[in-house]
Amino acid sequence: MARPRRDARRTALEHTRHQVLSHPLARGITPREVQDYLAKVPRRRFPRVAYDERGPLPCIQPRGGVPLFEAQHALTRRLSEAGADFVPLTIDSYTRHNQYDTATQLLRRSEEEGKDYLNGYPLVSHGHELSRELYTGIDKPISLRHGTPDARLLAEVALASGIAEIEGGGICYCLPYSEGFPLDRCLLYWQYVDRICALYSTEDRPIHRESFGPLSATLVPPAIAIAVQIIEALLAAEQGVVSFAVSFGQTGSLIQDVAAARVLKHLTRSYLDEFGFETTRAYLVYHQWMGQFPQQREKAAALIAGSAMISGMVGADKVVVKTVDEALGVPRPEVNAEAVDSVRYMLRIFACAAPVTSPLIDREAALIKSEVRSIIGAIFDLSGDVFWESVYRAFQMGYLDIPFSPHSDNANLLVSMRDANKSIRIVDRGHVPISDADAEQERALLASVGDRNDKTYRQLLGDINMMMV
Amino acid sequence: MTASKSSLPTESTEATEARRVAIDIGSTVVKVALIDGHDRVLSQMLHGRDFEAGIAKQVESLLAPLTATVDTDDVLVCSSANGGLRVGIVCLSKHFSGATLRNQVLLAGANPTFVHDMDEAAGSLERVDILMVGGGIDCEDAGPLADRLARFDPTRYRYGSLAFAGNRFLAADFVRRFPETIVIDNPLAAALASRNLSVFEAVRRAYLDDLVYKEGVSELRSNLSGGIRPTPEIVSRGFQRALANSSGIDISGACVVLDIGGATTDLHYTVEIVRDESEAKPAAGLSVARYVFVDLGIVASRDSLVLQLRSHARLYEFLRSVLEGDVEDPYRLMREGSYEASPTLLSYGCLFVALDRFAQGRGPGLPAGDLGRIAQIILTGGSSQTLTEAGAARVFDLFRTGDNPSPSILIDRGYQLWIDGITWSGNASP
Repeated sequence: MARPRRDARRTALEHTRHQVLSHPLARGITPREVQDYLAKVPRRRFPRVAYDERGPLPCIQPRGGVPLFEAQHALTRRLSEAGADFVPLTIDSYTRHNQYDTATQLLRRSEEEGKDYLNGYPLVSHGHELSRELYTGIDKPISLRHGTPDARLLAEVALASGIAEIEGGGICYCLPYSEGFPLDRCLLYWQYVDRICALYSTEDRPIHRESFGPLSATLVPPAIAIAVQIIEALLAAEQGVVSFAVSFGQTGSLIQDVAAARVLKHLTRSYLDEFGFETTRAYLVYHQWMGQFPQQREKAAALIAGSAMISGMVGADKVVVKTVDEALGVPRPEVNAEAVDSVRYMLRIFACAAPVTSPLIDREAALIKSEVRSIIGAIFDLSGDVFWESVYRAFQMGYLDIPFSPHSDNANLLVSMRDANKSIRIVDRGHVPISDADAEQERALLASVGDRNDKTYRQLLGDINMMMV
Repeated sequence: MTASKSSLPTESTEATEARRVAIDIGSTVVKVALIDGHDRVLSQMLHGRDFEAGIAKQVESLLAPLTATVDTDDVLVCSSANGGLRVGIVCLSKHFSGATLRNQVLLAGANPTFVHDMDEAAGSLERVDILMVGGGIDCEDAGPLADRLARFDPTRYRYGSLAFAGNRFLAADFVRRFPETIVIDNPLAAALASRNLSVFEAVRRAYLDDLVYKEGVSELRSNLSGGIRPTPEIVSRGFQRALANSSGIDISGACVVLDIGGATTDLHYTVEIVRDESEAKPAAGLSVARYVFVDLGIVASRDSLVLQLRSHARLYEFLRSVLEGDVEDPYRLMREGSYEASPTLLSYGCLFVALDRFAQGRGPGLPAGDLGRIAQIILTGGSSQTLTEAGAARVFDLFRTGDNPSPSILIDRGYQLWIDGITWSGNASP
């Protein structure tokens, strides 16, 4: 039985690190110089500091990344001035797939023609020295948003640029984003990222890691998302990470959102403590609706406002916001700034002093908690020496199964649909080891919907597109 | 019998520390290694094959002085003798069932001779040990597959055994038509990805049967002969062990292993190296894959290797990267076919041609690799032992493009990959 443990920490990283940093685009990064640099950047660049000082409202973080340095610089300033508590740096797709040559070529072309040929900021191509200048005078955390299975070089460049929050993980940046990138290697590569984050951390300036809970953002049952979040928190803690955010995406059901947040917070803390990671602080991040977005700006604005309110009700430490242009493409800076402003307005007007509760929420939370414990318990019980390997095998055996993941290691046997409350229900658990009683309860709750108890293609499509009505 | 290579301490130290004995029976050489409790090599020796005595007697005589200190349960045996099984594959789709069958055959240490789809009218005259027919996922409603199977004609092929590893609902019909068929569980089961190791296990068993039959291994004690595994599978396991960070070999990223031998050069690679646009792909769900260059080797395949080198467009560059001094004469002589290449040059030649073909995906079912993604190259096998890291790096440099950094090169001089594979009890991926 492989349980998370401190001595699973990666040692003798030097050879691999030397190899990663020998890439010409690492431009001579040395850990010592980066360590010194991180000691000099403003303390509020470190998310733990920002979270500790946040007050009663969740921090707000927009999304944003453009290829040219000047444009990214302007976007950063604009978002910061609009009141974003966390400033994003979204990376382009070529960099995400380690195609640095192509990213660099398209960056040059973008510079020459003044037209964007990349859908994000090619951080590795720009390099850490230039990218440090993006954040001169900014005393807020910068969040690296990407989706990269092998993010070792990217994370090195990001940290060298003064970015103290790295989103991602071996599961959440592999299963939803890749069809064939080997999961075992992705888990190992993220061990590297976690480890260097830990190595650069000091007591008052810990590098922060954040997992991506929405996963495929399509009918993912809360129990699956929460199990993945807890696993990634444990994997990071094994490597010495002491500041970590778990997250989940708006489910589409208010009841399920509140219940999921409660269980996610409670179980993450509980498992971290159980395995001796008491010093790892855990935070909760809420993603506004990650599924298909309405094209009409009025409806999009209403959806953003509604989910802003829910983020306050679930007691999130941070909310990652969308824009009214979500369905139309990469948002303009002014639209992004408007979104930050409107979300802040909603949070202030509908501030929630204590998390909402009700018998329905209690019942939902009890069901989710039981399911998560069953899944994680079954993974712990797998034979093996190390925890990450058990996680890898859990996917091969279908213990973890993410609906609509394109990845070849995903079993794709779990089927989920929405019930009358729009809560996501497990129709067929596949090989996911939830108990018979929990599976029966899921089916019973779905059956209460009356004519929605069969699983037809049209119903499924309706559930996926529920915000498009 | 003479030991051609020996290392490490005295007999008495070995005797007290040795926990296991690993034996690799090759076509021309038997390798014996003493291993300590931490899977480290204490010593190893190479013995020429004693064809007069036969494998069984030779292995027994090599083991005799060791049995006092090592339990026979701790004797691990693998073999590459007999060249490995040749398997022909006839499948529904080359991208799904074909790729899955091919990869399991390869990981089991056998050589897929061809992969045909069922409509391949010509068949093949090349004799294979096993003709494996497969396709489809396990489902009852499989009319199109049933129709194509009905048209399948095994007389278009030359084979020793016929095996069916397709949709299990169609197996009975297939056996009715061809009663000698061996039925293997469908490796795809109910999904379009490799979900079990049925073909891998079946080919391994078949390999053992073949070895016992052809090489006289049956005379070995049953607890040894029953556990012999194909050497390529062992190397693959060693590679996977290293990738899982549970070996003395440190893997720093996307990696290829080239096992350069006398008859073949085996390429083991992490699948993220495969180009997105490559037409051939490794089977879904695989983490590592293998390919056998059956025409690259420095002894049995010497002629075909030399032929490929002398007609290669970049021969001059290759020679300049591995030979010292003026290469005009060697170049001319090689083009003319009269150059006597040394074993070392031929080993570099295997590396050069294998990388070139991998980069272009030139070989039946070989995906095209993006060599720029390779962070590390490990060279193992007998023919790699005379190479140098610097020499191998110069050969690799011939394929470097753009800003990609040089991969680190490791020459596995202590056969650590083999030791890691033969002693590993961990889980390898399907």
